[in-house]
Amino acid sequence: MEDFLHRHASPDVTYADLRSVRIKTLYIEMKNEEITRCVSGMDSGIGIRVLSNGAIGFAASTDVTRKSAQQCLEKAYKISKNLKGKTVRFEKVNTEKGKAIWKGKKPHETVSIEEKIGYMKELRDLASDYRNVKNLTLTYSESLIETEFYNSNGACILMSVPRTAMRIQAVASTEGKITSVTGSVGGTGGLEIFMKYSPEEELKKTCASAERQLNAQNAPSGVFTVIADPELSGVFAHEALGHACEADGVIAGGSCLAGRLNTRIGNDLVTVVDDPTLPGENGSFPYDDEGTKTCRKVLVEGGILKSYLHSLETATFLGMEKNGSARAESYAAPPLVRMSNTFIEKGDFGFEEMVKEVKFGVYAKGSRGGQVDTTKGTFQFSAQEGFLIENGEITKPLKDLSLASDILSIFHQIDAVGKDLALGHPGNCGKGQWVPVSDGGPHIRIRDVRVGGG
Amino acid sequence: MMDFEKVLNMGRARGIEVEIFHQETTFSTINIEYHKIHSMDAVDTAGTGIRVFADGKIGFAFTTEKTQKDMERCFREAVRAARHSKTLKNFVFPSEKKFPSVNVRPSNKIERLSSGEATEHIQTMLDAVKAVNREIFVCEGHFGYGIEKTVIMNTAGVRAEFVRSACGITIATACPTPDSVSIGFEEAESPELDFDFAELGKNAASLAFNGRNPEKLEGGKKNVLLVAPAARNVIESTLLGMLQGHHAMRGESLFAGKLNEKVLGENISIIDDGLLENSLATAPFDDEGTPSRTTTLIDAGILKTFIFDAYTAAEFNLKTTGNGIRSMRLSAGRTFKSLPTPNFRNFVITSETASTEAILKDFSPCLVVYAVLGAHTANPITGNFAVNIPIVFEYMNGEMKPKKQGMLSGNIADYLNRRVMISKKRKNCYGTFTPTNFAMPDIFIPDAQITGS
Repeated sequence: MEDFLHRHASPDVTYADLRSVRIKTLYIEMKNEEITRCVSGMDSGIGIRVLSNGAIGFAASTDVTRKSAQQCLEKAYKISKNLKGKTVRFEKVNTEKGKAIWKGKKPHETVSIEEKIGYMKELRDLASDYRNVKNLTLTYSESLIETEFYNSNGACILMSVPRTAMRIQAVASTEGKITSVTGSVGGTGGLEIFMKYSPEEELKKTCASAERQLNAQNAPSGVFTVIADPELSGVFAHEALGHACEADGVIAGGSCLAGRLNTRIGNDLVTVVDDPTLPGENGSFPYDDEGTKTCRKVLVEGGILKSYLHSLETATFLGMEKNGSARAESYAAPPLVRMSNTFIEKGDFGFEEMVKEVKFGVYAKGSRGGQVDTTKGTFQFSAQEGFLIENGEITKPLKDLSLASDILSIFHQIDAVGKDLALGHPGNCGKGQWVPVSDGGPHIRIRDVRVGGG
Repeated sequence: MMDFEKVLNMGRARGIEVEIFHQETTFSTINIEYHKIHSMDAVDTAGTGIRVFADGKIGFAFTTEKTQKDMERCFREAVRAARHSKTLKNFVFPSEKKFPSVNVRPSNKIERLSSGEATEHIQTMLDAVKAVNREIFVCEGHFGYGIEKTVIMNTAGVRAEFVRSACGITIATACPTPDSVSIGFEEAESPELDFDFAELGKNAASLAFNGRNPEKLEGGKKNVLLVAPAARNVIESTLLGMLQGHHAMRGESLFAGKLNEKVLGENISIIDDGLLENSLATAPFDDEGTPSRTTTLIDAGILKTFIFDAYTAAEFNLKTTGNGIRSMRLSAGRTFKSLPTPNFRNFVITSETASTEAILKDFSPCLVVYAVLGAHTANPITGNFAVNIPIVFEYMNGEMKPKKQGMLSGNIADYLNRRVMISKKRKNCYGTFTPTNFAMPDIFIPDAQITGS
């Protein structure tokens, strides 16, 4: 394939790239005692992108033959020729020949399906200690994504990234009351990831939380001081800051952080990082889907906005350095600017110290996800559970707790950052396409957050 | 086309029931960025899911690979997967061979739409935005269109094929103001290319324009009108899950164990209409070959049934309701990569109706919520939710005044137990992460909980 783009692209093609992707998956779902789903899959295809006439055309197919590749190239070229709109340019295009084959210490294929199911059964048995947990669903998933990337400037990158995860959903009920809590652990690599992030611990935490919420009261509605746990502070970093730092949104007039580089957007306790190079994290990858090697990005340093996340196009447009943030869900989608592993750096507050200073507030734990409108700069995210904080003490459990605020004010409202940084919360981020990410951070305390109870 | 009969015969030879679900799609998308056409994607995919029922157990595998050898390997993978699954002796693949006719045909207009014509439509929409005000722009938008062919075959004798067309557009607009930005949006989906692109642009621009200079939103109990797309988002994340058989029959729903009991207000009925006209989700059969039908789930507030696919129905000795739809978790697309699960086809809610204008007049002052953020974080078991409301107006004394963002929270079953009213006019809103079309009216909820700005 290396010379394919050279030989077949038309002379007025400024740039072309080809990704050939093969995704092998296994998914096992266990509900209580039984395996309810066992699915294996093979998904492969090619995606070709052409920049010609200042416009980008993209064509993809599940047919991975050379003939199909040629048809995709022609189709992408025709599209780009016919588009009249924005003038796109790529500079500093990668020419690297690289290889990154991540295998994991305990590869998927070295453990049989029977052993994987056996492990899930052992895990399930731990839930018997929680008598109000009536339904437990465990979902084991593994994937191996093999990518070949070529571009018309001679780059050739071969990548292989395995991912492994366990998702836990506990439904507890008693006396007509019902609650549900989910937890998950996972990351890049083989089954050794479960040594780093323990499904056993996650299961116990999830079941305990589900039981606790049976007696929880609805969260109060109003404006309060909130302490977010490491998992929720990660979602906070992702939703409240990360999305607004995606440079495609900045250029499109869709980010409230446009024009604010090197200005203060938060107080000096706040540093936020996006780092796809962290070993084993769910959002890690060696090269992005434009063949750019990944690197650690400090988005906010001491409250100052320091950088955006870039693709080739956005870095060229804004005259900045590319930083390997262009990711595609699969061969069937063109790369977009995306996050990876996003987290708030640790500070020096102890958790007890943070709580002690709150007269009335909310301690929010875990995450049900969130959503942001980067244009207006508003966001919402939900916790798995919460607790009231009264006179410096954590008191009653709360359920169905959501938080909302504005990007441009919230980072000024963080007045304490904990020293207990924790990562390892895998998830998928949606932006028209899903990509695996993770987030994390330390405990953080935020003043004057809008809280809504279910 | 693959010779799928050979795969079915492989199963027959080994006493294994087999089902093939094959899907081919050709889809193009034009992407808009900062009020200009940015790029276009053209994607052709073909893939096959093979489900087997061997020794009383279900197994499933999928592939995009094309050769007979690949297909046979996929079959063997499905058989291997079945060995680990639970035993479900009474499962049978659907065997009905007659399907209802549906008033949805593949659109010639969509099939023949050239990229040049498509970009002209987009330009019409962009011009209409600027006609409202030169400062307003589309920050992001997507216009997609294409054709999908589905083939279902099984060893019980089903041979079903359906070709459908689809197009959809979403645009987000922004209107800069001296100290902030006001936002708007518009969306439309249809199996026919019947959009008024100029109208869509005008609507999205007007929403952003009218939202300038918002005033403080006071919290408390307020009358709320959820405009159709916002109502879709809230219901999709709450009520839908509570009515899905695989959740409800396991006790994972507030409605579990409440068949024939009053669960919503007596003026509310909920229907799943697999045969609804002019909908992207309508087809003669579901994704496992069960004929489409109309099912009343809640009749005048009384819970009548949940929705089922063949597998879930067999688990609980019930019959499928023709709702076996294949989609990945949190995805609105249907895919060969997934086993069927019970999903709504076309969600229809009925209640006391009036025009939107009459509802607002009767229940003034009333907050009009155009958009919600974070609906997917709701609790799908209990129906509790708390969402941000970034585009909200207050209707009072015949005027609509923009308000700053706040939060709307509560419980969907509680709200639908009140004197809810719905607008006469409905809008087809496709799911944001479920493969469901919502024939959605605006929904009025009295005394909803609002957290102020």
